[in-house]
Order: sequence, then structure tokens, then C-alpha cells
Amino acid sequence: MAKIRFHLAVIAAKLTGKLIRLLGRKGSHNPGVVALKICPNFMDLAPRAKLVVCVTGTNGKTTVSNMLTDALLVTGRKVVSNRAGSNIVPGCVTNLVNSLSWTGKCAVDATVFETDERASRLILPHLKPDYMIVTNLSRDTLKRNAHTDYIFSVIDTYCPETVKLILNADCTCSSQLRPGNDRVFFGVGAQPGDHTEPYNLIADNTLCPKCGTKLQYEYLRYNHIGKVKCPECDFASYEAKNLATVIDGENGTLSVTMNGESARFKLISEMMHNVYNQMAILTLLDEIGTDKAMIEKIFDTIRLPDIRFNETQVGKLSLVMSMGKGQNSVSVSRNFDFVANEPEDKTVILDMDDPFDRRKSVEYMGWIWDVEYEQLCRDNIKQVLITGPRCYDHKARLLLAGFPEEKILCVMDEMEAMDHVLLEGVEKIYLIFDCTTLDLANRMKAKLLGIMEGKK
Amino acid sequence: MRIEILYSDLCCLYGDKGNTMFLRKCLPEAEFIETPLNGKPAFLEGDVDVVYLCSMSEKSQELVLSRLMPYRDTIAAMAKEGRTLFFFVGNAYELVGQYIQREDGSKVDALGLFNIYTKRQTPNRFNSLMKIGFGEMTLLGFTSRFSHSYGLTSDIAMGRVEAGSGENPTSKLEGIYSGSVLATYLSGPVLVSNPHFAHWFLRRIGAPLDKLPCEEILLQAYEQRLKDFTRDDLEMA
Ligand SMILES: [Zn+2]
Repeated sequence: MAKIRFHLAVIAAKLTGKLIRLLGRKGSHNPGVVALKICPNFMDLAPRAKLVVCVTGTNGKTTVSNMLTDALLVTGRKVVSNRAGSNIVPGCVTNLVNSLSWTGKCAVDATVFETDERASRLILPHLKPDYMIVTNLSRDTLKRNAHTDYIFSVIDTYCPETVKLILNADCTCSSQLRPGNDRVFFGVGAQPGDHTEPYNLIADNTLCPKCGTKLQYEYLRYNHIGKVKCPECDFASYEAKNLATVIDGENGTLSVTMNGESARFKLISEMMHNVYNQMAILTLLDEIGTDKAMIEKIFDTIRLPDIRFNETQVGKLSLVMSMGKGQNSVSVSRNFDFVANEPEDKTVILDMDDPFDRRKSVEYMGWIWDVEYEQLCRDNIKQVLITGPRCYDHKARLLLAGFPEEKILCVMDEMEAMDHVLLEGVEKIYLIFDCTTLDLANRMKAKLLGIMEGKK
Repeated sequence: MRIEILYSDLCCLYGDKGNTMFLRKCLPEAEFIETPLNGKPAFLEGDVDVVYLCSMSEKSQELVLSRLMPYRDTIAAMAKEGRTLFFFVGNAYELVGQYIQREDGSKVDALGLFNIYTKRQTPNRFNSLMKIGFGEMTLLGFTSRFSHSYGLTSDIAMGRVEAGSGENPTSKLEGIYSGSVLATYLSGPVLVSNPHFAHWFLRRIGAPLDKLPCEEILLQAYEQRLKDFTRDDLEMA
């Protein structure tokens, strides 16, 4: 009976997917819903690919699962991933459906699942991946993710003991997951410009998990990410098996120590969080036995997904779209840090309002007090244009950070705001938007590009 | 003016730093003391005007209680009267009750300053907007937690629920204002998001200001939120 249900589910889910795609939509969610409706234990019954990888973590999981999928494709494998859509249960089941033939046989070599941290409790015990990459754990939306202690305990409790974990040695939180499992660590070694004391507004997990003493940093990158030891007990960061040693932005190379030997690859992105992402991918590739020449080929080929970050030049002006994660103070602060450190004179547009909250609720504005608005206090930022219903709350935060009031403009309606973007005396315009507002952000972009064309 | 921030490494989850960031602007002359988890609280030596403790994880609640329980009698005496105001925000509120009941039924003793108690319900996250009447003021905010509290009575309650949730979803009472304790389930930057309340707070600690830093924009933000709170189709959770 279970077998019949499973086969019915495969066919119904595939038909649903086809129908939705005919209607011009992505169809990453509904096939999974249909499959689960017919066969609630679909994940347990579906045949497995030779390689099953889950990617989770607070920041970077989309980037890593995207690039990892591309990397595995370069090796010649047939791969499916849920990169285009939902990372909760239905999205993962849809991905599983996509890995199967109409007759319910596995039709791919590898499946990559971007897995929501919170939903991992419903996913990991059933998918039982061969590997799970955890990029990092840091604070996220209070409503759903609560705090890192909670997310940590979810993954720690529900990750099966057979899963080999690929962990970030420099994350004092996620590196402590599942000590009984097989684990391999990646990291980024000491770099010029590293700190040794927490300097960000938010630095969770900076106390020794054994004795509560403030940890000492051999080097600190941002937030709590770095190499630590406890001055009072024997707690210390794990040694990374694969360690980035030299990040050469000028020549675009990344030197690493892999299994004690040195190697050099193309650097995918200079941004530090992407160096960690690249190291996570490198470590997975190494674990599955990819040789050095193939890894070289992979890093020569794959690139960052451009949905997160893209630039359009119009005459002398350029518009940069930079996606952040609303209500996630760490993600938005990293975004601010990047934008602020770009050398050009610029305008910054904020489109961070939560589209779900604005429908029938009032967005909790507490999170913006965890965002480093202080980063934006630079002379070369000529205007900050704030949009959305909570624009005055953002303005208050920006003012208390010390940003000059005359350079701030609040226009609640996002589309109307595009008429007020400062285009004179700047070289770049950064539109920082929340990932759930992609459609709106694209409409803002289209309107603004039109205005920029007109002024060319 | 001396303001002690207790265990700021652990207790600062939901933008609660906004309160002290703001107080630093309001009171540039004040001294702010950040007490680490393994340090001895400064208020025990007296001479502290405000003790601030805010949101933390459930695990951290138990760590914090393990550090504060040895001083429970001193805290109880100070909470009744005296110069020091204990300002507890978010689930720090739960620490002033008798106990916190874990999901498995076991109990963690809390400071026992008032006859309230807390029950945890992880992984059921409870989210709700909060509109709270406090004296003449209306406080706007939000709560997001894995627990509810019970036993609050009107003689010690800080506010009346005008919309949203109180100490539990059926309670019409919220927070405690009694003696030297001001404790609220409201999350995060309650002072910045409620400028009238910020004025009241500054008067209460003996440092009134004619005008708050950025007062106009704080009021504008508050008014906009108040307007959004009164929409017909508002959903609380
Ligand atoms: Zn220690």
C-alpha cells in the first residue's frame, strides 16, 4: 500500500509541477505539498541519490547551495537542487520529486537541499543526508528563529548520527554541533586587518560555553566569527582541516591549506563571508574525493548567484542591487559594511520593509536597533533614502547613529520614492532590499533605470 | 547617575541595546557599567540608579538565575524600596517570579520577588503585538517568546492590555510596576519606540529632560505605528 501511495505521489506531484510551470510559475512548493498529501512519509520512501547534501546555517546557505550545485554539475554529475525555491519541507520534497523518474527511480547522481534551520527538524531525520554543511549560526528574525540557542538545539537534536558535518571552525556556535558525529572543519586563517576584540554591535556566542568566561580571540572577523580560546579553561576553536591562508583580491586568487598541503584557486569573491562560503564548498568537494585539477576547473567556472548582487551601468552612473535579509540584523549590517566601504560617492536606498507584516500587522522595529547604522556615517554617502511604513523608525536609528539629518529622506511609498533619488554628485546608487521584496525591488529598479536613462 | 547593564554579552537579543544606546544619548554624564556573567553585580555595593536586564535565551535565563540567586535576599530588600530601579525587559520579566517551569515539568527557582510563575512551551513560539495602557500613556510594542506567565494581579501590574497579549494570551494585565521594579514582557527598545514612556522613565529615575534626543522623529515614528495599530484588519500574532 505504501508503495502504491508513493508511486501515485510521484506522478501527481510531477503533473502538478508541469501544470504550474505551464502557468508560468516556478512550482517549487506545490508539487511537494501534493506528494506529502498522498504519501506523508514520502521523504522516507524516495530512493536516494548517490550523494545527498543538505546546506543550512543563518547566512550563506542560498549562496553555498547554489554554487555547490553548479560545482557538482561541473564534475559531470546530474544534480537537482531546490535553489530556485522553498527551503522548508514542501520545497525539499519537490526537489526530491525532481530527482526521480516518473516510475519513482532515482534519476540523478546528487541532490542538494538548501534547508531552513528551523525546518531541519522535519527534514534531516527523513532525508538522512550524507553530508550537511552548516555555514554559521547567528541571530536571525526573532519571530521565527528566536535565538541561536534554539536553532542550535533544533539541529543538534534532529541531525541523525550518520550525517557527516562540514562545519565552520570560526563560528563559536555552529562548530559545537553534534560532537559525536563525523565532522570536518573549514576556516579562514589570520588576515591583515583582523580584530582581536568584538567590535560589532552584535556579537553573540562570545562567552565560553563551558565556564561562561569572555573568550579571547586570536583573530576576529566580524560578529562572533573568529578563532578563540578560553582564558580560564581548555575550551578553544577546532583546527580547520581546510584553511584559507591568503586572500589575494588583486590577483583574484585564494591560497589554502588542504589536508596539510598548499593549493591555490581562483577567488570567487573578495567579500569575507563569501570566502567562508567558498571554503565550505571546497571542503565538501574534497570530502567526496574531487581531485585538485577538477576543483581548479570548478572554481574557474562557478560564480556568485547574481540575484544577491548585480550592477547596471547607465552612462556614468551605476545602480547596484544588494539583497539582504530583512529582520536579520547581522545580514543587513554585513550589507551596510560592504556598501559603506566602497570608495565612490553614493546614494543608498533602503527597501527593508517586511511585505508580510505590512499586509495585516505592524513590523517589529526592534531589530533595526541591532543593525549597524553607524557604518553609514561616511562623507561619501550623499543621501540615504528610506522607504516603507517603518521609515521613521529607521530614520530615528540613523540619526542616533550620528548620520546628518539633512542627508536623510523618508518616502513611505517605494515606487514614489524613486522620483527622489539623488542622482547628482554621485557615482553609484545602492538599492538594499529585503529578499522577500524581490518583485517590488525589481519594479523600483526598472523605474529608477528609466529615470537614469532620461538624465543620461 | 549610574546605570548597570547586567550580562550584556548574553542579554541583548531583540534590539534591547536600543534602550541603553538611547539612555547614553539622554544622559551623557551618566556612568554605564556592563557586568559580565562571571562578574559580581555592582548594585550589590549600592550607589546604582538603574539595573537593566533584557531579553535572553531560555538557557541564558538559567545561567543568569544561577548567578543572581545567591543575592536573592538583598535583591528582594532592594526591590521593595530604595533608590535603585530594576528595569527588566522582555523575558527578564520572568526572573522576578517564583519559578520557571520547563517543558518537561521540572522547575527552576526564580528570584521570587512576586507571586507570578512562568511555563515554557518550546518549540511553540508566541508572537503578538502589544498595545498597553500605562497611566495616561499607550505603549506600543511586541512580544516574541516561548513561554507565558501567570498569577499577575492588578495591584502590582504595570499596564492594562488594550490590544494583543498580556502576561498570557487570556490575561488583561501586563508587566509589573511595584516598589523599585519595572518589568515588562515588551521586547526590545521600549524607550525609543515610546517617547512618552521615555520621558516618564527619565523623571522616575530623577533625570527629567525637557526634550529627548531626536524627539520629533521618535514621535513621528510612534504616531505612524499608532496609526497602523488602529487599522481594522490588524492581526495581532
Ligand atoms: Zn572556559
